[in-house]
Amino acid sequence: MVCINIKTWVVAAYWCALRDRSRLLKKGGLKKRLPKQGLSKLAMGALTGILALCSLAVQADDLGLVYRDEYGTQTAPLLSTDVTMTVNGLVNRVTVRQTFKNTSTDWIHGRYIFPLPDKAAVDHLRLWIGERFIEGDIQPKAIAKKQYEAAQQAGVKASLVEQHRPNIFSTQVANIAPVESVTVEIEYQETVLYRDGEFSLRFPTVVAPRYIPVVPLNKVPDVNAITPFLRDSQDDPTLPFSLNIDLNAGLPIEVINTPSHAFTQQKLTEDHYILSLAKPDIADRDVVLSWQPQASDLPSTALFTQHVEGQGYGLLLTMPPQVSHQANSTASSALFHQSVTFVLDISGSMYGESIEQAKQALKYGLQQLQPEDSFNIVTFNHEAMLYSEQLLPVTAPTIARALRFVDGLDADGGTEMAAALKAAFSIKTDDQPNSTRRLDQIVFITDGSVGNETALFDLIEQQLVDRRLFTVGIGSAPNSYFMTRAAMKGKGTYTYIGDVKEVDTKMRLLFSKISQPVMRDIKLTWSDGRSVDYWPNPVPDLYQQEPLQVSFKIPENAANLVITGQQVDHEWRNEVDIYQGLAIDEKQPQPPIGLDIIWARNQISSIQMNPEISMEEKKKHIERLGMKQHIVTRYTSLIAVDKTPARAEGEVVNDANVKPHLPKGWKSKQASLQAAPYQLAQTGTNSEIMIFVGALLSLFALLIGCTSKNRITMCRTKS
Amino acid sequence: MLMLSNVRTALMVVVLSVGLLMIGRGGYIQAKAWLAQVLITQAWQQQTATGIPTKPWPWADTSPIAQIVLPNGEQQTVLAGVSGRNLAFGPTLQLFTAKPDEQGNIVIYGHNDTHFKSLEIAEIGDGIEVQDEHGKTVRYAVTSLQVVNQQDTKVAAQTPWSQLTLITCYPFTTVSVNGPLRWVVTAIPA
Repeated sequence: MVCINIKTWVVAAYWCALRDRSRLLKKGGLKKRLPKQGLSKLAMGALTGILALCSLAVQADDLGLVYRDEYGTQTAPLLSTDVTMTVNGLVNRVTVRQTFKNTSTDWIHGRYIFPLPDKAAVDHLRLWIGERFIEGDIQPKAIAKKQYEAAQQAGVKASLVEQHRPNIFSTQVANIAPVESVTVEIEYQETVLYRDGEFSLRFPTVVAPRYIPVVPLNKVPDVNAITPFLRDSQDDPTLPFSLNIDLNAGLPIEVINTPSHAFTQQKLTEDHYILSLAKPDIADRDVVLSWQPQASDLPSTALFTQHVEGQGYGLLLTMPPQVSHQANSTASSALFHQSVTFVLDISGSMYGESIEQAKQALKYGLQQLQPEDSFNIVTFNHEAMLYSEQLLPVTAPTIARALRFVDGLDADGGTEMAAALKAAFSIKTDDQPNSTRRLDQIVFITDGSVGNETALFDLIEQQLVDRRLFTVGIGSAPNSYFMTRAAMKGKGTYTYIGDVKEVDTKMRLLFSKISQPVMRDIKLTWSDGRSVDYWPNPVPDLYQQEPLQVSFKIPENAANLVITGQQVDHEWRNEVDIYQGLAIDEKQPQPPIGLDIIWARNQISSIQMNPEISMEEKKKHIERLGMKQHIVTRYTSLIAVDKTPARAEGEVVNDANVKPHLPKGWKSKQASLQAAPYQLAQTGTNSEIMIFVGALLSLFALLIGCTSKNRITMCRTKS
Repeated sequence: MLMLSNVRTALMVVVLSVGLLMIGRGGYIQAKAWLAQVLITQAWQQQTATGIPTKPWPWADTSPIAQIVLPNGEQQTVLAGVSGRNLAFGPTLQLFTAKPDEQGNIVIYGHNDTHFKSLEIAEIGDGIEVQDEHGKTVRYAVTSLQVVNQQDTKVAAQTPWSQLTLITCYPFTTVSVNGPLRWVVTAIPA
């Protein structure tokens, strides 16, 4: 009896102590709470247990961040990366030279996974062996892979460049002799980003870290093909990285910013600089470079043209007249007026943290509305509910009432998104006479857990009319495929909010943007009425300080290029003579190169993002474009194979991976190149402990009964 | 004496009811997890037979998307979409990374006291099987076991290669829920 009693106490004390161990530690023990003598020792035992548990948890935490490579015998080839960039106005042509050096005494195949900017179009591969090089060929992915594997087997040198995601590529080199160096040279092209009066470019240098598998090689034959190992910062030599930039801005440069790395600068002319990395840095963080032209030289329109094999290509950048606040009108009257319908997902999947974030986001949005705007709210789970039959004017009482309504919402039930969209589309918006100045916007806040995506895309397309659909993703793992494409279909944008703390900043950005649209319905035609082959297509709406950037094909005898778009109260029309070019073009010391590549790359992203085209069709289109324009895509790879055999038959060959550096700031969210949740979902409940503690408490209750003299008989019968 | 006895009785009643309440609440979670799996597995069987996504119960906002066999041989049916609600019913697939029939990182979350409890004893080299909606089964071998902070989301990021990532809360037995640590089991096609 006593024995059971003591055991019960120990366990109960242990759990109680665990629950409020901090208080316990302050008090220094459990003595006060234990009525029986001798139990203090056991309490101390429990305390020791808790401390042991704590230290275990700390150790376990460290385990996740410390990686060990169990391949003691595996040697990776040394690698250096040299990057040369030539910026000509808007086009950046980049050469990346990766040198693999085999430091071992065996023949090896080298492999390196590396990131490139999102819109990079890789179009050249050269495999340098000593003084000679082999030019790479573009091939459908599967064929290129077969050729590479055959070369690997045959003992000849070969190199393969593949795209895995739009921004992740890999290089492989077969048959590097002991102590030999091989250089793989790739070239890609991208357009420089222009926003808010500033040009910028970014060069990513590391792929996000992966785990080190600890399975013996023979168990997982393709382990080398899938996992890059991280370098041990202590033992492995660093990866030398050099970067030289020939910056020919085409405009007098006011200032150059290099926030990520130190650069040496050499000024040739007002608009021409040579920059290089001050010291050969290690490849552990993105290189960022931006420059601003002198304010008076901000371009309103820039046009580049080029003829490739008889075909003309153009790249147009134009800054449409901004909607400015007239001196004689108030700030809001110069702008479009918004009528915003908020659609809020209150289904069961939103339960918990998500619904709180969503409610905050909605409330923030409501508070951003201006007096001449109007609003409505649709909530939905397995059915859709309208807050009001029609749009409500924005007044203090209507907003206050709506805020109270939102506060009272709770998440439960299924997710019938189609019903919600139909309800939002059903709200009459056209009761304003001056309808061109009214913006019908739908702000759709959800975690996007839906299955019938295609049907929803169809619905959006059929019923959108003049509205714009902005999706706001909530929670740790929203379905960003659905959200991005729904926004694209709805001619709007997608905003992702991963944390309650981000609600304010993200919603402020969204609202400051969507309250100031500058131009919509942008179209390009030739002045003789012919249609233009241009990308991106359709051109997205432009907001404050956003330039219009399109690449297009120039047909024979092309007339003037006519750009039209809808501004607040009039249609904007701009006619560009593509033969005359513009001031910027004339200043070019050499013609810009590779506009055809940019045209193709823009078209590929448009195809990839288009939800209407089936996977089969996409593959066909993209493969054809890749083959024609000689660029690496998801379905085409660059392959270079040497003719002369290098490795004699029978010589041993090892596979070696080049281990990338750990990105600077391990915990930084930027380390991940792909969309990732803000944090990993909560997956713990304490059901077992509840049952356990519950059982103990029940037992304890019976013991109280048993130890009472009055209940002695009951106790006897029980035991 | 009489008063003391009354206090004792009252104490006993209070402690007993708290105890039973806790058993009830814990049991409810366990029962829900178990019963839901039965319904989800039925929906899965119907779904694989007909090819039409089938909700496990009429008001559900999810449907089964895969079946997984854990290292200890336990079979679980996986629901589409990671949410607190779904997690109570079964392991859940993160939707923005790879689906079981696609190349990439297949990320599945599960509760550490019900569906993914057995991951505690998983070992490197153990086999895990995943069956996709078309009935194709891929066998994976566990290559790493690690504890990460919940902010280290790179484990759940997309990968260019095929990989299976199972995530559950860590430590497995604790009184405090919503802790910051996660147990991550990574496996690659065997």
